[in-house]
Amino acid sequence: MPRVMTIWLPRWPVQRRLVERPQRRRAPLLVCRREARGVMRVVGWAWADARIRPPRIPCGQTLAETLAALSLACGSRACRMAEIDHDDPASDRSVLEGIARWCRRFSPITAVEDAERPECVHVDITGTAELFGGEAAVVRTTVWTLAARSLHARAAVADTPAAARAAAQHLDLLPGEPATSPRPLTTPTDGRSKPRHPRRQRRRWGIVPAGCHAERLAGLPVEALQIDEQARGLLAELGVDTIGQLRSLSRRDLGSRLGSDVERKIAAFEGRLAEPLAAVAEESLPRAECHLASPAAALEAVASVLERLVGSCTTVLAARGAGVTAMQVRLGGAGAAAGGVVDIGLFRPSTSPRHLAGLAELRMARMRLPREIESIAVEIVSTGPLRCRQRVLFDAGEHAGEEHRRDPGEEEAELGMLLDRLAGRLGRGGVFTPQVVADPQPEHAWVATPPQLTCKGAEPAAAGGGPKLRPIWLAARPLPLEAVSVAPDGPPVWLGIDGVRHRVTEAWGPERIETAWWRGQSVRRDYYVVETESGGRWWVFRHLGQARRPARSGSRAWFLHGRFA
Amino acid sequence: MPDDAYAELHCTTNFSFLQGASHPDELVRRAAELGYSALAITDSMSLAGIVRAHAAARQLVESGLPPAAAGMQLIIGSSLRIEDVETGPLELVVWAAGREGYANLCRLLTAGSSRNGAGHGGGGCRLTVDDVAAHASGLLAGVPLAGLWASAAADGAAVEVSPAAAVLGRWREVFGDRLYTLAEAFREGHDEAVLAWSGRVARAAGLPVLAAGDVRYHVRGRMPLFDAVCAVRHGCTIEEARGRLLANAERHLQPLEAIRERFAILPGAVARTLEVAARCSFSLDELRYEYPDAAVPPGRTAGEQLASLARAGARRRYPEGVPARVRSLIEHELAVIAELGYEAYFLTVFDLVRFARGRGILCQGRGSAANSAICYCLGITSVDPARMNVLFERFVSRERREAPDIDIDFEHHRREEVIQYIYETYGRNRAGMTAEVIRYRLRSAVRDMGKVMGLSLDRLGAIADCLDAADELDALPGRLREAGLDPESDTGRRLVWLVGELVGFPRHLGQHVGGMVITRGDLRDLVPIQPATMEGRTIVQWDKDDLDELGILKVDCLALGMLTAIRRSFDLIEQAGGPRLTLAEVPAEDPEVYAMISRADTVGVFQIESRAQMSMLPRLRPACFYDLVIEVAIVRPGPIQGDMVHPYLRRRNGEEQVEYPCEAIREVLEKTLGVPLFQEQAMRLAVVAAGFTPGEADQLRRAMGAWRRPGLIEAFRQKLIAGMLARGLSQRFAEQVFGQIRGFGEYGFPESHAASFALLVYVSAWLKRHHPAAFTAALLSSQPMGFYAPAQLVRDARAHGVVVRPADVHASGWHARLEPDPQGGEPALRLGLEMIRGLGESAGRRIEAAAADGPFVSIAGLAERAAIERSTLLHLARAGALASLEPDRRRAVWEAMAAADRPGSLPLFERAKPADQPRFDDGLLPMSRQERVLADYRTGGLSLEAHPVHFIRDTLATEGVVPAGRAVRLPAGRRVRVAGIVLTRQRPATAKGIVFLTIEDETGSLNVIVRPPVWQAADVHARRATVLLVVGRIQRRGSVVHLVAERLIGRSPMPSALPRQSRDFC
Repeated sequence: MPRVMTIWLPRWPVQRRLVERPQRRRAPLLVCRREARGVMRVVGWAWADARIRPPRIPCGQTLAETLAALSLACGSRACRMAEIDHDDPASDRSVLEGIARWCRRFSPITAVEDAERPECVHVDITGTAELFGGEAAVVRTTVWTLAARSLHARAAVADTPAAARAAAQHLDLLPGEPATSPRPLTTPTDGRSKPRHPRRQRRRWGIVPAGCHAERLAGLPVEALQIDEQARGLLAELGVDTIGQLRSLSRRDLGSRLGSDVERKIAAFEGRLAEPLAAVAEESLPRAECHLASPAAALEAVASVLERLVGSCTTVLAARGAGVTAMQVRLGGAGAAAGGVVDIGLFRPSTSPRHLAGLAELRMARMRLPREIESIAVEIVSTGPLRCRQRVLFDAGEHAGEEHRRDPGEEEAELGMLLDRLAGRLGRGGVFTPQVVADPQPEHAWVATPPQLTCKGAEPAAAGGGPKLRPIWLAARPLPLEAVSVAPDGPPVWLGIDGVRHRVTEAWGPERIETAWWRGQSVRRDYYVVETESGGRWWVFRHLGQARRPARSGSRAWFLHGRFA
Repeated sequence: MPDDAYAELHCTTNFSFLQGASHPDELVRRAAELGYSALAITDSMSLAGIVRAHAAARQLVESGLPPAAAGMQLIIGSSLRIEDVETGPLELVVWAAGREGYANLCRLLTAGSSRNGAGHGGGGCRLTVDDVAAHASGLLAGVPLAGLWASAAADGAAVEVSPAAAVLGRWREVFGDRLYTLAEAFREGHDEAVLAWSGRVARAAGLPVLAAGDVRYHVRGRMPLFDAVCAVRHGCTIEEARGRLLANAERHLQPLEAIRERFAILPGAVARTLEVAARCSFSLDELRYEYPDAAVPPGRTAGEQLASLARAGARRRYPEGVPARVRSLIEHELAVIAELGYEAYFLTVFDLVRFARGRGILCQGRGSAANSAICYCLGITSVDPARMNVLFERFVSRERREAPDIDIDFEHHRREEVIQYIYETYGRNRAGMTAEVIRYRLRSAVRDMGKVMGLSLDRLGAIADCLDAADELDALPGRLREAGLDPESDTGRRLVWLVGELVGFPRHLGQHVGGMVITRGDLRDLVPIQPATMEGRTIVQWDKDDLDELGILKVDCLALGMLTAIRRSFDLIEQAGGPRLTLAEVPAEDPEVYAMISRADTVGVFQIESRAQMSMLPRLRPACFYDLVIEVAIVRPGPIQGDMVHPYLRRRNGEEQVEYPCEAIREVLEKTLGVPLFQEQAMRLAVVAAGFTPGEADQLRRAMGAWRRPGLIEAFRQKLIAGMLARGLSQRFAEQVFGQIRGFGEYGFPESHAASFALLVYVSAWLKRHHPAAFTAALLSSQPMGFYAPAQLVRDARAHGVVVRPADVHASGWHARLEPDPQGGEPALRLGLEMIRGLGESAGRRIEAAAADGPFVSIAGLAERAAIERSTLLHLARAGALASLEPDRRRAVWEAMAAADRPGSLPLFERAKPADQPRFDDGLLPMSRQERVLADYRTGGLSLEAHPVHFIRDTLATEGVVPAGRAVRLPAGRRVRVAGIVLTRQRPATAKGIVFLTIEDETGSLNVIVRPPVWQAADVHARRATVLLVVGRIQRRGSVVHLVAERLIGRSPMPSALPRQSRDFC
């Protein structure tokens, strides 16, 4: 009989951030997802201030509403200090994978749960628990070790991943004493009793003995099986609240009534349907290590060794049709603390040792390295399928008259390598694709998105009036400008840029923009394109102030916002 | 004419739903203030807003503007979106030059919307170039060039003139020299380029170019609201819609100077707008309305026909000879009608009543003009003018040429037959239903604005729950706070502002409850007609105020649930072996009926079942038919506000002497003991006591109703009081009469009206007294109607000894039935399948038909034979209607779940399976009694088994809560705690903010009075609670017992189990 330990990390996206930056606990932290059309929705939040009673914020509520609710419940100061963080499911998953990897000290088979937003790690401890002093010792060690890293985890051991997950999420409903107790778990299940002070008595781990999860977990609510909303409603109507009742319903007819998903979930819970753990695949990924005969000091000395190590890994991968998408290089130096780690991520799977080693070197060049490097280890962290390209056989024949055309696949590959090199030099955040969004306010009319190898078309422009004239260079925020205009409503005749006065020879406009009232102070500007005597073409605007309270005329009213080539 | 004179020719109001952000009157007034020479209202595919604009333009004169501005011309037009295969959508603005052009515009819009099925507010209107060409005569047209420029510039061909010129060429073929081009620029960065291009295009096409502004709102400050309604139109939040919003606020009415400056590079473009204004001479004043003459036989005039029908009717009504007074009344009324030309109107109403009577549809006329000898003789009403003091001029007034008003009530399930008869008789081109402009109210405005501000539906639901219907805008911040949103936060402040601006905006065109417009000529020449959402109906684009403004008559065909219920009762009594009754054959003046009414035992009885009526009945103790007439009229806002109720009661009980200041007044007020209770008494008082002419009396009443113009009321007050003093009446009496007339202004009942209703009161009370089972069954089948929910009707019937049985697929039909008692006693009432929430009528009827062929063997067999799908089966199972097939409700649900999603989709072999399979050991727990009761309430709103409060009685008892049945017997002043389900919440406008609640527990119901401070102090939970605990003191007045609340505590003893039961009128 297999034995599985499930570690549940409640509210994982928020917890992860708080662990990474503990100082965030002082202010409300809102994790938001930006939707395609610009709306921010909260996916999770926390505020560890014990003095306030936080409002209930359902997942998926818009940020605007959340702030209005927070302002009422906790005061407007809470709103002002609230930290708003962008949702990052990939990082959530990868840190969770890190925990799964860490768990490999207990078992070779560990996996992140198979869900859209995983919060659990499954560890197959069949036969390995004894090596660590029994299941109780494994669970306890796991929870306490994670707690020492400020992670609030709950863990349970049972015969199937589904059962262990259910148990971990409903530890308080498990019958009997905490698993640390030497007494065997023999108390009969009543299932419904809830502790009076859940916070004080909350259990952090539990063990469901082999072969008894069916009866031990019979009292758990049906939602512990991750059953969808609709089926749950139907079950509630039938008076079926617990897993035990659900299992006693005639199995044969369950699927046709409640959907095959429920049937599958029960089968997985009971162990009739094998639920293979999608083990963190790292174990099978190649790694290579080399101890240098004599410690090297210079990067150049390391380079050739590094390329050879990478090459030995990529050869293995290439045979499987995979390329590297993430790689870690560890440099070991003299002394315990010395050493350096370089993590490299790629935009496109690669098998080129030269390219990969080059990326690592780019990064190392910017790091403080151990004075003497004694060992180099290369570990492939993740891989992706290689895209096969077919070569063009009769290129010249058909397009004889045309210039030599590049194979688009080849171009893409080169672009990918360029992006990798740039990201290696500038950091991953330093490389992005600007994307045009339709927003009347120019500084909001584009967003930075992660680089993509294929360019998507721009969104349609704002309504009416045809295409807008926009400069190639746009200041991140408008710069105050000295300017003189003759007509109270007219274009400037003089501009002062960097302390130099420029006479305006020609001006086009105005283009009036009045917008943004719904996200803060409204923006009211008259834009002009002006050409100065010196030949420069600038994009300047006059700040019009609020509709009811026009801005004073004079130099304060003018701003420089862009420059045409 | 000054050379900077300007006419705005392209202006959209908020009657282009969600495309404009100002009311027509705001635009008209602002344009006049800015000194515009003319303003064209060009709503998108609609003329819905023009009557408002017309009225606003007429009022400019009174508004204190200088004469030049007040004389601003209003141009009627529409902006059209034309679909064309070749060029894609085209925009065209058209203006009516004269009456012909206006008629063509109406026909064009009618043609566009009738072709494309239902759609509100012109949204379903589709037009092609050919449609426009077919209706072009009499219309002037302008092509907005900005749109053409945008598409040309997007192609990178901003300099190209020829594609735009080609479009213009096509329109020129249609309109000839009546075609213009509209140059528009909105400071979007290339104004000069756009205008210069427009000039070139116009020159190339050889067309004049006009300046225009594509106005969407009257002042710049409306831009945020415009953005918000745009987001509503796109169905997304403002943040999501930002790419589609306009970049600035330039589409407001600009000062003339700014316009002149902007169009300086197009010389003459501004001045030329006046040329169009000069060519458009049409005004809505030119519309002439004529009543249809279909009901007049050939060779006779309408007047002759009406006179002969009236005289024949009089002979039938008075077989012993027509009284002289009635005879002279008829002659007098005929003369007035002839003078005003309303013969055809009365003939049309008569025609409808005759049709309904012929079909056996119960109907009854009421309304002001129905109060006449002619209507009685024609059979429209049953009020004998010999017994009433009829004041005909009150309704058909010579002073103001105003439409007479007759409402006809029909059985609500059969009114559609009458409406379709109108369409058939007069034709769809001559008849249409009145529109009703559905406007934003606080709740709907919060909902829509909240959505565009990005609030979740849950939160908006919470806010809506916190809002009382009577709440004004200034209550909104507090309500937001209750719903968990900070009104001081950015989002909160914006929401409050937007809602404040939006309230009162039209949202869409609905259909009026029953107003039909019928014309002699083609209705399509008068107003655009569009199909209604309901099949077979068409509505005109104007509502009843618009029609009033233009003096267009309508007939109100209303639906009255009680007529249906009475008809059903008659049917059920006949089916159960009783006699066939009619309204006239119900035994009159039955003392048992009056005894029951005097006990206030009137749940379900027409009109007198409300709490206010019920508390009046034991005091008034009606003993004859006329007492019922008074009862109906007295519990109305008019008499209550005029403080006439208590004097009447005192005098009736002999506690006060009745004195009349003079003989003339005695004649008017004698039958109501010196207190004016009916509208016509109040008017007549003004005539006999203050020397008003009847027409003046009517104006007085209308001025009271209008209450908006204090100066006018003061003038009438002085005239009235002076007149009375001159006739030797005291100042005090005069002031009192004035107060009474004022009370009638809005809410009074005419006597004929009250009499018509009193007849239905008597008949329904008689049915309740003598045939309670049939009456309850009929009421249940006529829902929704009346003051009480089915649960209370059933409860009341059981209290009167009626056996009520639950709905069941074998025993029940769609409607409730009577099951005869084998011992020959009173029949039992079997609830119908209609009681089950979510069950469709067609499925219910199929079950009824299938059950008639023999019993079902199994649930699967039922699904098969009645061809019902799984979801219907589940509804039946949840409601316990499958009990005769499977006694346990959960097992029934389990069985129903196995049914196919659609009937007949089971594979062949599944059908061949034996009907009853062996029972499986399923582990389903049977429902407890409490669960069954809650399931009953969820699925049908009532349970025959027990009352939900019964299950928490023990808990309540520990809190010192007393059952309602015991509380009503406690002495006055005793402090008690009572808990129960909230049945009704009411906040009458006359009660100064007092809220009346009715709560019910297993022992009975209790009326609760909640004064404003108590109500305000209660939290949302208590105000909207399903189950409420009230702490208060017992108040007794005669036999009427109330609980005066001191504190309200919301309870949810059965979490989330019980849906809200209350019928809320506040």
